[in-house]
Amino acid sequence: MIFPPGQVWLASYPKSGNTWMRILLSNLLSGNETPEDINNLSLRDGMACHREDFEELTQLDSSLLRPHEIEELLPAVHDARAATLTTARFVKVHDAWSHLPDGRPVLGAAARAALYLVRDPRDIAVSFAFHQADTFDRTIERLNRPGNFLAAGQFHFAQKLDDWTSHVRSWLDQTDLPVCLIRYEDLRADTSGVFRRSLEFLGAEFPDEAAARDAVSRAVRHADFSELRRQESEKGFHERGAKQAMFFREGRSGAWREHLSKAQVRQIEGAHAATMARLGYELADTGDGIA
Amino acid sequence: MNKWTFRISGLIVGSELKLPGVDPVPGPQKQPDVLIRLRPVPELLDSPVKQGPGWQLSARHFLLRLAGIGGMLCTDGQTVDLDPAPGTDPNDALPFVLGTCFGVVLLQRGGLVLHGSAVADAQGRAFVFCGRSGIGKSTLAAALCRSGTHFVTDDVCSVSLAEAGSPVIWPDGRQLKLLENSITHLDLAAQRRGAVRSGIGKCYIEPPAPPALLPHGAGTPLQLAAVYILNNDKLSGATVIERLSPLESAQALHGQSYRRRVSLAMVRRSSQVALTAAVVSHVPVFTLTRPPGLDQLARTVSDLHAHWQELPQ
Repeated sequence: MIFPPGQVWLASYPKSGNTWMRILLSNLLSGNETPEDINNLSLRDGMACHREDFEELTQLDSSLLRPHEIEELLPAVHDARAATLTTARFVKVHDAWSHLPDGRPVLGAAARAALYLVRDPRDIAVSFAFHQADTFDRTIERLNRPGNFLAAGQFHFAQKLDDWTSHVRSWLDQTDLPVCLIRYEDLRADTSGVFRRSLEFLGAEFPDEAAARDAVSRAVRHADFSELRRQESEKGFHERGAKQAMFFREGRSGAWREHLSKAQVRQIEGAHAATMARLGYELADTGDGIA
Repeated sequence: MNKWTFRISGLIVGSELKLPGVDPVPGPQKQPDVLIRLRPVPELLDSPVKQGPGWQLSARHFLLRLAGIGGMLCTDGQTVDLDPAPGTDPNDALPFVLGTCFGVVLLQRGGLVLHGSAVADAQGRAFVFCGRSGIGKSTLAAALCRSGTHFVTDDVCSVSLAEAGSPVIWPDGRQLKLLENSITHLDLAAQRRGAVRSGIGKCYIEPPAPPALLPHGAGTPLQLAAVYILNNDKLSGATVIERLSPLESAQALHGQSYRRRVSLAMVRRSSQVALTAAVVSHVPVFTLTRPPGLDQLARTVSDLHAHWQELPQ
């Protein structure tokens, strides 16, 4: 299996299937008979917000830079990384797509494509709250808040999320690079089919149809939710939130119906109705109360 | 004209600007090894051999250009010229002069420069802690100083050879740079000496045990006794110290070079290979894997003191 060379963004709002997509790709690329170790994926292509990559390319101590000075350097950093690639590189990113005042995209202009994963924002609210060990109300407030950031950490810069609708629009409506939209719910319902379509979008080439089917079904099996949970139960998972019991918690769609109050559902739908309708997420509050 | 004289990593530095985080050397001094000057610098270098976002390297020069901050030019390991961006305070650029640029000066002078912080024990044995930014090198060095060891250097560690051929490192002469949470955790507020740069949250900290208390004084190098490569492991919760093989040690030292891209481009015209070989043959290199977090720091400190008991005196 061969991917065209170049950088691909694996973009999403948090808790929308980005980690799962990386595990699928890693299993596909490894082609091994056993599942990839979730704590040691062979796909080591990093995240857009990693300080280490930035420092390696700029030869600077990023902790000496103010946030706007980091942003000013980011387009050149991302382009420098993408320019030297002779193979495919998949870089995870939670930032919204944005531009500097001079018009340069903050994530640079050299990536060749993006996979953009979306998930029902009501399920994101539940999953994100568990991940952050926070309340549903505060998590919903963040989903709805323009200019929202994920705070900087020990090894990464702050990530510009914006509110959920602005995040979705920033990626789907930008005209700088081609984007393949993947709904988390579709990936759950038909993992092989949706994964295969995203590989076709990325120009993956297989020797023949049988090899393609075999490689995809093996990757899907090795990245099955039960396998991910099994590994996490045995050895833990480094992406787990500090106060979270399990990262791979439920992974199902529609859990919001059991967790969120009617008022909480209304808050999300009120803020994001148009974008939810655009993506095919049916509103529960039709004006006559929650269905 | 040089208004100030400093001693940094064993070099006499003359500067037209007062440098932050380092104490001036009083009294008459011999000719400076390195000059820091306010001078115009070129937009670009003529024939760069390597470049990256914001920097270029040629046979004699290293140019750093940061929008809104200024241009900096290092030449032959002897001068660093600073050209502040129009309307900006030159002092705002000094952390980059003292960081990346001074590291390049040490490389231009042919040295082996590690991205690490170091402390020394009462016998003058120096221990270096390397690792990626954010892993906690400075905080660990500060915590070790709190436990009775002496501060040697923060973030930049210049290695050279003693006459007998064994590796030594130079006290940096500069203060620690720490974030507020580390300052609070280690109860170092009284040692605070001002912000490294406005708007970034790091402060200079006078080391709890200054280098002047070292057995041989601040102006002499210390015997390098061990190198530790720091890793975090939040899954197992245990501290594990493992010695690397000679080949792994050489690879790890290369991986921990300060400003690795510039260092790699200069490797053929420096003594890095010979110095790396000397470190590998004289000094044990370990990986130190530990649980992350300030609340685990005291445990790492006591594990290290125990480990030093086992090393040859």
